[in-house]
Amino acid sequence: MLIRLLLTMAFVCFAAAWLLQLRGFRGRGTAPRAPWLALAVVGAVLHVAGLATFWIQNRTPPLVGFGPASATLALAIAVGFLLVGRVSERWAAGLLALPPVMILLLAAVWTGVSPTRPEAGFRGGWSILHVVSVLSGYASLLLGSVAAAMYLLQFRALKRKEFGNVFRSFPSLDSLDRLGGLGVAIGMGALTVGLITGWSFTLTFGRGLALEDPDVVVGVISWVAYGIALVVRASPAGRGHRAAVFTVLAFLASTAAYMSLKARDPSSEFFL
Amino acid sequence: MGLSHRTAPIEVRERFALAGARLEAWIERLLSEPGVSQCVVLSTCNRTECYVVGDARAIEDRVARALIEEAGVAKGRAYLSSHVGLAAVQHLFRVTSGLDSLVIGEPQIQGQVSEAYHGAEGATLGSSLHRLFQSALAAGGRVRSSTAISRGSVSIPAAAVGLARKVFGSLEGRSVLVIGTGEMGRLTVRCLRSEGVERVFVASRTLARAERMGRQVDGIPMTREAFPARLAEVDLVVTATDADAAFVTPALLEGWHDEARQTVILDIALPRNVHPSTAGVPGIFLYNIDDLQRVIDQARRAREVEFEGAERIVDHHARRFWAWYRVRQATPAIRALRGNAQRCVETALARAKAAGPRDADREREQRLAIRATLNKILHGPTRAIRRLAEDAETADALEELASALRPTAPGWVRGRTADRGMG
Repeated sequence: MLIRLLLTMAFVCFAAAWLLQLRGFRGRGTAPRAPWLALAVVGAVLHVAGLATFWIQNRTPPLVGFGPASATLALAIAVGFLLVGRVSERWAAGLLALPPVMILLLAAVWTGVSPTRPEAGFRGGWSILHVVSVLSGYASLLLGSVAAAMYLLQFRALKRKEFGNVFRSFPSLDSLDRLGGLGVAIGMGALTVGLITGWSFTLTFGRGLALEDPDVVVGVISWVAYGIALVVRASPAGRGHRAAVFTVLAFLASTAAYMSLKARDPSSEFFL
Repeated sequence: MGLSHRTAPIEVRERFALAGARLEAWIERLLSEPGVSQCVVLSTCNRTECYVVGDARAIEDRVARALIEEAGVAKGRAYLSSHVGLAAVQHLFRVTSGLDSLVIGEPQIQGQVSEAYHGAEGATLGSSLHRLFQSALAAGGRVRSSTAISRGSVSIPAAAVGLARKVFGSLEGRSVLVIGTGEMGRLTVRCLRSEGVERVFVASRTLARAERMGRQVDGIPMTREAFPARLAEVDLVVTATDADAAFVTPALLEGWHDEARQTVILDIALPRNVHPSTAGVPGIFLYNIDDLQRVIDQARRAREVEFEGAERIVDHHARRFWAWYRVRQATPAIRALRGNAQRCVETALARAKAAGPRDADREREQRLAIRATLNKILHGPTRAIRRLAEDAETADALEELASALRPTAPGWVRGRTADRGMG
């Protein structure tokens, strides 16, 4: 009950922060950053408190099961956004980064944040490393995709000479390109570690590569899609617009894979 | 007391402008005026203003007369305006925040006020003006950090730099090719240089003209025919020639421009030097003078939206300073009140001591107890005087109170002379 309450309060804070930021973005002046940023930070603190309560009450980290894992992924994205914003002093990414945080948090609260009894082998350091790597990889890839989407919007504004809110509020193309590249590179590294540890884990238990598991399928598709985006970025003419397009396509491919797998068996539970 | 772009045309402003030795001589003259105890003089291309501490009623006309004499402008009084008390404080705060500037929110004025303040430090600056200017600079900083009053570009060169920064982020280490040797091109290149642009190529119809401008902007000169070969290595192109027709076309760029590389072309010429279809070339961001004007208009509108919020910040800071200043005016009255009470106690103790020998420890204890009681009794009246002092209307009443409390024997109250006004 307490966990649900804390996570719901965190959701409300993130939603209020996003609405305030959106109002400032749509206005002609500059909305003060302090109120919405304070709300986002309070949301993150409540979010941490909710997950810590889960850990203490259930004596297991919130990594297994859709509810706990999506709540943890939401926290990773929120913290990643706040860290990037703090380091680069670029906060406009919140406009695109906070909605996935809210969606994941809402999904977690909706489906219930209760522990799933893990398989016997799914305990211990290796499994934690696997889940943490995958979740931080997804969070980083999502932030990289947000930067890539912002790049495309800013590119469009500059090409079409639309000197409105996007032009004024979004960072430069160069900054967005570097942020996007960093997000995808870190995300790919973490996802690779996650997939390798997951594979070793399943081999240890003699199950082979569990390609029938939808979360494995989504993981592999994401790895391939973002891998292509990374290769494009590394090519001589790949930086900038082309890299941003491939990163956004990779995000769409991963999301489409998830949605189609869920749609194939509507009776199944959400997975992550 | 002073004049600005709001009250005087440029021919008058330049007569009143004070700098170097003339400024020093003027400050000396100002301080020699009876009743003037502290002063700071702010002289920029848009304003000349003297901030003075003294009895406003007594010095206002004298300062105006001296200023007109110094400028040598007949009927100069018509151009001068003056503010006294809180209005003067609010004026300085507005000036420092850029709210009174020709271009609202321009940042240079903060540095100019700071320069005037630091120039006066130690010599002509008392504690009131010291605190006033520190508060004004803090308010200016607050306005700029909390609002977007200084953001955006409000001149053609600044808009050009702003656009380039939206593509490249920092301009450090970038290279620019300027085609044409006109004034606007030169100003734009100077602006880009100040942002860290490393290499500048200057192309003109004749090499001699390119060399002349090259010397001014520290650039590499070349003829107009030679510039396409440089297109592959520059990040920015500024065109500002008086050519009758567009000479930069997609066909010209073919073979020279690297499509994987982003290039910003700023066409600030009229008629345009760059054909509009060039904007369709991958990697090219093309902007003409109308686009730059639109950037400026957007920034101006955004600044206007911020104006109200900035005014509120300025007013808050000005009133806070004014409350401090007024409370400070109560110091002589408070000192006189406390000194008087202390003197009464000392007299009573001396009388008691004269009556016969007393125990030293007991006397010390009694003295401490009396002092504590006295402080308790005087706490309420002291607070009441401070509260009264916050209201400027009570200045005369406070002066009267301080005189009434002052003992007939001079010298035992070491209060400072009150500042009667600030203008």
